[in-house]
Amino acid sequence: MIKVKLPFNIVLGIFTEILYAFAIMLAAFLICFLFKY
Amino acid sequence: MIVKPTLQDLKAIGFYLGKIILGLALTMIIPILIGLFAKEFNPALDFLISLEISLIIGLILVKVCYTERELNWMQGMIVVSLSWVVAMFLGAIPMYLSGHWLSYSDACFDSMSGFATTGLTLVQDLDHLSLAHNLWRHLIMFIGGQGIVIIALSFFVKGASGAFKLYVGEARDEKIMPNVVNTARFIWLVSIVYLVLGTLSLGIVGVLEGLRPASALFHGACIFMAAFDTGGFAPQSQNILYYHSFVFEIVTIVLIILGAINFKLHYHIWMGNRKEIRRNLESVTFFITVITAFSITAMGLAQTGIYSKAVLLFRKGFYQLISAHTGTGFQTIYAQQFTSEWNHLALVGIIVAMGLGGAVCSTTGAIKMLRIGIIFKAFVEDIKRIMLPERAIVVQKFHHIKEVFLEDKQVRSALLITLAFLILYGIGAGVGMFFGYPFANALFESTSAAANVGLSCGITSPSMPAGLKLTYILQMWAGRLEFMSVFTLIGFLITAVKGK
Repeated sequence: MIKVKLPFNIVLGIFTEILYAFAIMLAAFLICFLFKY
Repeated sequence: MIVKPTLQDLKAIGFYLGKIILGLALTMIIPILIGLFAKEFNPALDFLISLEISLIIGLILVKVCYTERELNWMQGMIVVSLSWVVAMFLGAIPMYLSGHWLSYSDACFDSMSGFATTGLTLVQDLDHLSLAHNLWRHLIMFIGGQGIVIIALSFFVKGASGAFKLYVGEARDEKIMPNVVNTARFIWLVSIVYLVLGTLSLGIVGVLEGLRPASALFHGACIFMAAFDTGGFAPQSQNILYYHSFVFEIVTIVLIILGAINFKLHYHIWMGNRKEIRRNLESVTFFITVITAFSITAMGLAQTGIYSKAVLLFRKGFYQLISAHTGTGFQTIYAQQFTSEWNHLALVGIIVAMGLGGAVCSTTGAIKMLRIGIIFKAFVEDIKRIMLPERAIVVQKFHHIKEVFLEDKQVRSALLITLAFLILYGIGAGVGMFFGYPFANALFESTSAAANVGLSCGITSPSMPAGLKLTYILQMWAGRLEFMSVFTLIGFLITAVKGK
């Protein structure tokens, strides 16, 4: 059970971290729009 | 009374230093294989010579200084600080032999820049450098980002106590697992998983942008190593600008942010505690400081009006900013554009971002987010103390994996390291001005070197004064090791001369 769960958690973990990076990019993009429009 | 180092001290230092050199020597096998595979026999020979020199030095030290004693704190710190200097000298040998660096000192500059994951470079005609040498430039970033000592810990050093002292000496004071050797192995696991994913992603984007598959994979591997380990070298002289691809830039932004995350946070997120990323003091502080610093830069760039569209502002402004904040040093503009096209306000945002850095126990340099968060929390605590009645008991907490009560000891440590970094940035700026560079340029380049960033506004070049090259090498070294092991080495040398 643990062996099955661990890779699944890792995949979700990687996805969470990539989501965090995109959240930062999204916030930065909003600032770009704020200064240009 | 100052006590002179004993023969036992020297033997322990020599023995462990020898083991680390052996670990470094083994990594040179990779460029040799690449050289042979690509039929680059002369470059492969350069690495064979360097491998032999490293093996001889390492084996002599291990044999002559053989000891079964474990390291004490002082010895551990000295081994770490010396191993980075020795790595610089040995790593520079194949570079110098390639003929692409004007002198051995220039090769040492790039070697330290690589190991310290800075990214400032003095290489000549990079676009015609052999594959083996180009891979080596990026490989040393990967090795340095993980930590030279981490390699030795993973494979060579037995005994948890001695291993932990080496680990701490390399500015990694957070144990992810109870056993420090397992901690080192987990750091490798994260890096290898992302190495595969990152190289494939960049390789696919490279192919879609028109690179040949083999070339795209090579570029992908090199760029991954420089991105995840927040280094900043690239296989081409135009750095990331060479690819002219928005998607490529997005993938590298994701990788450099992943590289700036604390390995302990990686561990907890990968083990299922995914909420930690929006509660952790470091990830929250990083988010806030990136947005704040970028607002300053965006304001400055909006004043200049050089980037007329929001997408352009993101690709040029935010890219340099996130590259600066994570300590990477990738550029999508030419170095001179910082001073010729950007105004001072935009540069202030970049310099602030460079000075702050990423998470502790990550591959980034500079002051780092946990310390900034702790200092901010200490401010909040003091303001509460003033605002609340005198009898009130003020307790300040922060969340870093678990709820932690803020203690004076933590604040003192965070402030000391912050102060040391600010002084280091200032010293480099002073030396730059001594050699005739304007204040803004000198501060920019100095912060870039000391915070292990690698962005350049044009000062770093083979023709810059030798004194400035040496200053930047020392800044990169001290900044990467976060001072303590460097100060211990200085103290050791003083006791060796003055001790009784």
